Amino acid sequence: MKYSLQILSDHIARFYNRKDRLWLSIWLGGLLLIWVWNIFFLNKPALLQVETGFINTMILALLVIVFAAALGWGITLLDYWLVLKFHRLQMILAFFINLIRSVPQIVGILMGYVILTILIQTGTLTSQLLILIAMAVIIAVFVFLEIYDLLWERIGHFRRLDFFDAMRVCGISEGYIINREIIWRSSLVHLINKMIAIFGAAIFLLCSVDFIISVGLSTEISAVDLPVTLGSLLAKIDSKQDILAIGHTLSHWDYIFRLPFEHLQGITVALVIVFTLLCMYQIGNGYARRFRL
Amino acid sequence: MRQKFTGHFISILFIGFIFFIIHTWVKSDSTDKTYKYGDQIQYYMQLPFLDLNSPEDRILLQETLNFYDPRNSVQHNDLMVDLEHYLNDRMTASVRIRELSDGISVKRLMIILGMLLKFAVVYILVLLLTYYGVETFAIYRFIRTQNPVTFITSLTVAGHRVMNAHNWPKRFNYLGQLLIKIGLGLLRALIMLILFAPAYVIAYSFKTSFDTDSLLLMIILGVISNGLLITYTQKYYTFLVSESRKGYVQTAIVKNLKHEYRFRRKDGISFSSIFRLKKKFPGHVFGHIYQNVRVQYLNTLKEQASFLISGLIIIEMALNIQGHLCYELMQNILYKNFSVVLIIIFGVFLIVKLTEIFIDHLVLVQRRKIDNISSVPAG
Repeated sequence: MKYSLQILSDHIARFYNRKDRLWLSIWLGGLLLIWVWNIFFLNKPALLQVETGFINTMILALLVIVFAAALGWGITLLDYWLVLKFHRLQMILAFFINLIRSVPQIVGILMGYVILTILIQTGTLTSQLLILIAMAVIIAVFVFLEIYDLLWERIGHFRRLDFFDAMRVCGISEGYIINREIIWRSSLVHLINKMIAIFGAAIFLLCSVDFIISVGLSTEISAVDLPVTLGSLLAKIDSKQDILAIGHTLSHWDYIFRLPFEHLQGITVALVIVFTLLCMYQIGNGYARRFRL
Repeated sequence: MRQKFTGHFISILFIGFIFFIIHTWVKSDSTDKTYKYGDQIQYYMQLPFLDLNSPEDRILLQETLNFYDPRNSVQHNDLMVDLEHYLNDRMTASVRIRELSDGISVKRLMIILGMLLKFAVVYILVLLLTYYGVETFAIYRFIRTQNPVTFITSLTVAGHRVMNAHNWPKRFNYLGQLLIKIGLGLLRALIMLILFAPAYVIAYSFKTSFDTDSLLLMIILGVISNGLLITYTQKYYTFLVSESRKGYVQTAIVKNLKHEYRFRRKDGISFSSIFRLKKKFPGHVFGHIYQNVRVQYLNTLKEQASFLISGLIIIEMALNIQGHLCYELMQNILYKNFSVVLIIIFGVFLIVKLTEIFIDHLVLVQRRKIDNISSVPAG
């Protein structure tokens, strides 16, 4: 008995020390708890909207990761190749990369959304899937630089080591060394860590842009059917009233007990956004600590 | 370094040129829209007993149409959507005409420049505050982690004390300490949630209790919201940790430099020195770690500044703070007055570029100091 208790306590201690897994469990468990609570206390149409908004947001954030990784990898290789072959062209590429860096992400994404709206209004983009992909690409353009910077720094680091030249002497191509040895074998953990950060950033930017558009540009852009996300749900008048009710509890403490029953839609959406951002930060930190990045 | 500065100036000129081209090509949209059901809308608008501005009357109209002509219910639905667009456009038309007729006169330009200046002042203030916050919290965290006591460990110790106390007064005393620890843990979780909350969530939560249009609230939101403070504190902390692992730190310790990290010790770091504006740790090995990290962090400061500008734009846009730059930006996107939109975006771009130039200059100065290069070459 004592021995099995010891094993159990060891398991718990190990689980507690692996903060990334711990926070991943907390995130999933928390979301499950919120969902079950909503099944009991939120009306069906609102629940359906919250579920759709959550799923769309997650799909978009995952798509952003995919596109950002592809863009980051592609631009890094292009940059590397241009450094070797066409130095002047590389300077032009570096100039444009710095230009993207200087545009505040939210402004860039907002402008991208304006173009997207024009495409939808003219009938160029009609499918919901295509609209989702276009939204993800717009966000990816303004977050991919994190992956580009990471890969560029990793390649630079390994290029200074002897093994790079040794492999070149053995007749192995630079493309193989960079893609397989440096990126795949030696930088995968760093890449995953960066992707976790991008997942959080994508959710933050997406929700913010959707909120801004739904609040401020309601007559032009919201008239177009953009997919429902947590940000646009939060901007709805009933959600906003739910959030405003939180402020009411500052002067009426007893009102706090009514919040999870009477103002569930807005509270749920806001909580899911904030809770996800917090958990992503903790997962990323835990992951970095576990692999000593 | 000169190449870097040239790059900054070329990009300002390039963006200015591109925006000028867009400005001359794209005319602001002042044309009247055509509606699919325009004739029908005009007909129904003239009916004296029907007020189509009222949602009830619109629903009544749709139901009446569906009742008499049920086979065309889809078209009736489209008609209602078209009608809503028409009403919306009519409502914004008067404002739009006023906005467009203004164009970009000198008076308007001065108003926008005023807004840009206000935005820049808020930005600089928030940047300074967040930089101080990031540095202070990162140092505090670094010093605390040198003597790590995790939350769970402290709870377990407190729990053991409660269980093993010899008499009830002591047990109650320990129980009180345990409850205080749990309370502090919950408070910490709440603070973390607030720090990660997007600005609009915090602002709407307190809209009924505070005036959310004030400049002071915007500065406070800029500092505490959007996860900025905590994200960059983590980055600064990572720099401190990696710097503390370098070989010179061990050499310095061997050479008897102070390396006690506990507060209130003779050789330790004083609590107040962490919170000073100009932080100094004389005779302590941490002083050297801190000096090196300050230089390393300058490049990340560019990233922080860019993220901060995004955050401020989100705050102004989401809260619809009238008379502010980003509210103006949003209004002009709404009225498709692209000349003003381009001027505002160019202004924001200039702020980012000036920050980058300033930080690059700081890096240059620091590097000269480290490499011991004087500004005037020796003859």
